[in-house]
Amino acid sequence: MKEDQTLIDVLATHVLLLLDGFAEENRGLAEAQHVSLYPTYVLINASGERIASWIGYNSPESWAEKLRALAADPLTLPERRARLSSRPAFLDAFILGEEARQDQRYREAEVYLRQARALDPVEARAADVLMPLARTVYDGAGRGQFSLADAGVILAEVLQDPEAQASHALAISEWLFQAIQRGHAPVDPLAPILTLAHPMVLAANDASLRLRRQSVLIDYAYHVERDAQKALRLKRESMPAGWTSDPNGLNDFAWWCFLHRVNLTEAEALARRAAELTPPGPDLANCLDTLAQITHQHGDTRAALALIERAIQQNPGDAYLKEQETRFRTVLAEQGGQ
Amino acid sequence: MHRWSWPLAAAALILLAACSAPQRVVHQAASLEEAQRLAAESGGLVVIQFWARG
Repeated sequence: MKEDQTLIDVLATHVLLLLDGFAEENRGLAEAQHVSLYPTYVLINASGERIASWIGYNSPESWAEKLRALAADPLTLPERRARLSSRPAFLDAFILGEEARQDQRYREAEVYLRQARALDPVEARAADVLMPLARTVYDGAGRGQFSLADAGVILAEVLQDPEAQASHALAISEWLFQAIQRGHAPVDPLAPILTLAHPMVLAANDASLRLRRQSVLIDYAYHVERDAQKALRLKRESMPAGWTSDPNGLNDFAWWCFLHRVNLTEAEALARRAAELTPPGPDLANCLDTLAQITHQHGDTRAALALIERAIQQNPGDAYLKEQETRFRTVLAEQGGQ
Repeated sequence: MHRWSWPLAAAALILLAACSAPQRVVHQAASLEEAQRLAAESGGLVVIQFWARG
């Protein structure tokens, strides 16, 4: 493949160290390099000095271009900081911003990334510095380095920037809805930002963005417009053709209904159908768990327990399913049912 | 229950698949010094990719 050749060419003179960050033998190095997200790339010279680091892998071309630029100018971080002070230039500010971001020094990252944009707006646009700037603020808020209010102001500023595009609005919306769904942030303070992003999300007609747009519009209807029926309609419209006879599609839809506490009567029937269509194994366990959750929600915890016991038979090693079993048993015990 | 895959892990595997020079690929942190030695020989850098299994 051409893409593979791009990577092979750029890596020809370098040594690639591929490390599973969760493996016991690699954990020390991952911690020493302050790795918190995956994939993270760290570039060091033959003396072990750090040159740069960054998070994420967008495309072979952009990855190769970044490595090529860094290898052509392999300053250590203190050297790069000194050069930025004496001869300010876009690339040094951008690299130091990405380095600070990877190292979770988000306030510092924001300063560097803003400096990069000011130093060379054309290069900054080409490198899409707006996206890491937005992500810096989001991650920084998650780590308590930005207040929610400060983060909101900066994210609004990003969305109102003349260079902001649908991809920025989509990404920011996805991050914020994820934070809401995980219970990390309340809806109300984030609603103005999501509302600001909404027209740009609606305008995201590019084929590559369409699926993401649909997902964000569903979340927007549910969390911001607080219109569960509209969210349900959008969710139904987003389902792929033939989903009503596909066990994965049925389970996905039923699970969404359960999570959003909407349309549970139909969801129960669909989850039951999914379980009937799914062959034995972990996928069947997932369908039975969906059915058990909805059954419990409908008040029949004893039936839910029987379903979760069947799910455990299908996937005996799954700790989550055992937690569910314990939860249902506890409820029954409290009800005096056992 | 519905399980999601992690797209970043898939992206990381692209790079893994792309490398055609196995003698220049090292898989354990304990081999960092070896990686630095190889980089010194070739006049290149060490690129560490931290990825998450699964």
